[in-house]
Amino acid sequence: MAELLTLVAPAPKPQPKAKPKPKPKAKAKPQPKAKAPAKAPAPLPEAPAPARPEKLAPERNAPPAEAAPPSPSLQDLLGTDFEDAVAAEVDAQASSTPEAVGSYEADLMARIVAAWSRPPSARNGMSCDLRLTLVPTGELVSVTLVRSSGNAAFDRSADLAVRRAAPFRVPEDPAVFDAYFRTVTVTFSPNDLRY
Amino acid sequence: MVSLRTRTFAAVFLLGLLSLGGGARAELAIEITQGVDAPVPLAVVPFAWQGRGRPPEDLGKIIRFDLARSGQFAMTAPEDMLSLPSRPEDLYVRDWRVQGIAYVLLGSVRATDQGVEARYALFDVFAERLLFNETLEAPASQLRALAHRISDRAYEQLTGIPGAFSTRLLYVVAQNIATERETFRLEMADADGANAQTLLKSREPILSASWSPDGQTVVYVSFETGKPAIYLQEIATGRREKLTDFEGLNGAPVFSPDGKQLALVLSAAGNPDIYTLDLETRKLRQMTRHFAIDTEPSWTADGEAVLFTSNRGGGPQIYKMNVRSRAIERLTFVGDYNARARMLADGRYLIFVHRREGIFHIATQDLERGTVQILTETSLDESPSVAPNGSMAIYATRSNGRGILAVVSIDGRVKYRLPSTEGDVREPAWSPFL
Amino acid sequence: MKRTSLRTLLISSLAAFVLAACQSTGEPEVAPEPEAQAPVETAPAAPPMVTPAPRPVTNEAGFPLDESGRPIGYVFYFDFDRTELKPRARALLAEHADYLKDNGAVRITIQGHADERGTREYNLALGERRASAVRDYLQSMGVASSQLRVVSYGEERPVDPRSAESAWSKNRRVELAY
Repeated sequence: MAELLTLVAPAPKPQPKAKPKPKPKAKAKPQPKAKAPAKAPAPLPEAPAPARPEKLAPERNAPPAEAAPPSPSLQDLLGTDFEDAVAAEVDAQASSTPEAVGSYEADLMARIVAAWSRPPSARNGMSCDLRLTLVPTGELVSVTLVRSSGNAAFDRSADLAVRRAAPFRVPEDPAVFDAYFRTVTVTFSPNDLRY
Repeated sequence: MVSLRTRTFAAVFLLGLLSLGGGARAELAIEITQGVDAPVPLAVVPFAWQGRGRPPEDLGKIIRFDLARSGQFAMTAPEDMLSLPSRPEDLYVRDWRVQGIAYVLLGSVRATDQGVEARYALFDVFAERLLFNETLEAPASQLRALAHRISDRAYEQLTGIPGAFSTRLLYVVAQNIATERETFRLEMADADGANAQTLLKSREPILSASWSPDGQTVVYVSFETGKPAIYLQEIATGRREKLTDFEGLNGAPVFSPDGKQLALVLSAAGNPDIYTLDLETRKLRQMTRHFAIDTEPSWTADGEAVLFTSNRGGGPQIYKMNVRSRAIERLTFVGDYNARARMLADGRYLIFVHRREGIFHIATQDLERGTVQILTETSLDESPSVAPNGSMAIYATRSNGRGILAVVSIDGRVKYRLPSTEGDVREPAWSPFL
Repeated sequence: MKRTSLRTLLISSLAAFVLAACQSTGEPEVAPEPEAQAPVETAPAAPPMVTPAPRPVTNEAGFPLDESGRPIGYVFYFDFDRTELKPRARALLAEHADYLKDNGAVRITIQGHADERGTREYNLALGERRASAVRDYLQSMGVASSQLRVVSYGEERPVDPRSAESAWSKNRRVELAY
């Protein structure tokens, strides 16, 4: 009978408010910048890259190779003036060269899309730009945030996506690589989120 | 796979040529508009314990459980870790990178004169960058709270949203239902279900508990006098006060966002209607006046409107009333049973109980587009309550003939159940940030 | 706590007769239980469903009465999300009305209930609607409003806690508590 209604005042001790709330104090540990801690090994380029199946069989993923004439070299392109360039571009479209570059580009995009996990704070309309620097093996040597979305978690998700997507399949022709893949600017601007 | 939005290649190519003409290298500019959003691989290394004996709590395990529940991360099991560093200096990037682990949270706990001190760091494996490296102190009795704070820090750093792991839940446990030994308990527990405490125990029903915005006070309905009455209770002291016990219903109390008034339901005037009660002046204002059932009020985040359930159109649907003008607008039109709505803080989405083909689900409605998304697939789902960071909702459902609590992310992709040991658990209410 | 003119009909003289055996001291800071919904352990006669009815008799309309002449059926069932009385319920309620008119000092609590489907507060309102339908019907038969008190328990007090139509149909009910 006496416990028809038992009013329990919680023991005062475990009340979080009654205690000095543990709060993060940046106690004597300023945030180290950008560099791995002393003992962390292996500067990026030497880091053994994870398996790179694409590199093992690059041609398999290449587009239909029926024409596949040599790509225009950098020298070829440098020798032209603008009108020639436009003409070259039109020619190039007619030939297979742009398609070849396009296939590497599509491949790079697909790898990044597959690696990109947007944080729950991401919203359609957010946008950031990363500049990637690649080497002819397709490995990523640097990523620079050239335009922030204003949301650090969003920017980091983009950074992680390109690093996880690397290495990339890139054209074997050094001139084409230099022309198109030495540096790549990637804009991350989702339009498929719920909001 | 995903369809790629590839910019017209000609334009890219032409731009490349133009920049070449200027002497610069060509450069691809591509745009990524989609992602796969798989959980991000995260490892929480077991925390080292620097003290005598065994640590009273396994911090790493608590944090791992917290972050795993969020659904945002694919957690690495400790037995799969190639090394177990407890300081960032001891972390070998290669050990983690080879497994594709994106982030490593590691740390240690040390017993101090005052209690315990945790040192913890979050490391970005792919960028080889320390994201934070901090210490946190707490009384020894607060180790779990300390772990939740670390989870909050990591979650916010990685998702851009404050973590809600240090929050609490209110809920009701009914035992021995439909027997002579029936009891009802109002309980409060940590967001992970630990540290449950009983705030009130009664042989008569307790229901509709909700939090004050500062998390210090709860309001609820108790039948302890044989009829429903609304009570306010201070959590820390147990001090409580009966606010209303009119003839008829005294139900569904909810604090306004500023904490100064309650919206509630009374039927003393003949029909269940929505009222507000000013907690300072104790003045009641009747907000709706309709012969239909009006119930289940809740406030919009700006405090300018009250949502409520009404069957004025036939079946229960959700309406919104502007508190000043009293203008009423019907919000739900999909389906013939929509009830107990809460508005998300963004003002764009409602979360509520929705019946489809006889089954009660938790659903959201996009108020701009009018689209309804069913979040839960069980059958008697009710009482959704949204975490203060807006990421998840806790709700009541049934499993094996027993009421249990479950959590679903607001996008419906992540679900988990909270363990319960006994009784019929129901009517969860997620606290504000504490 | 609030007290306004809306608040009526609280202390029932019924306490004496139903709870005569109830040493109602269980609640420290609230006045002694005035009503029939006393804690189950101290109010053996409280749940009307299990009230034994020794030596039933039948009146001329065929309804069983207990030895004091009170009708024995106390429970009235409803359809899902409905509050209308069924014909059988009306007939039985007429017997209760006769009894209550003949015994003007008797007060009853009309307890409204709902099944577990749907939201709890909405079901409280629904239970009240059902109980009010019973109250209104009794009043229309001439019972004094002072003899009738309505309480809704919504879905909080099922007679059968299972999740099945067989249980739900039993739980959608109004009970009279003498």
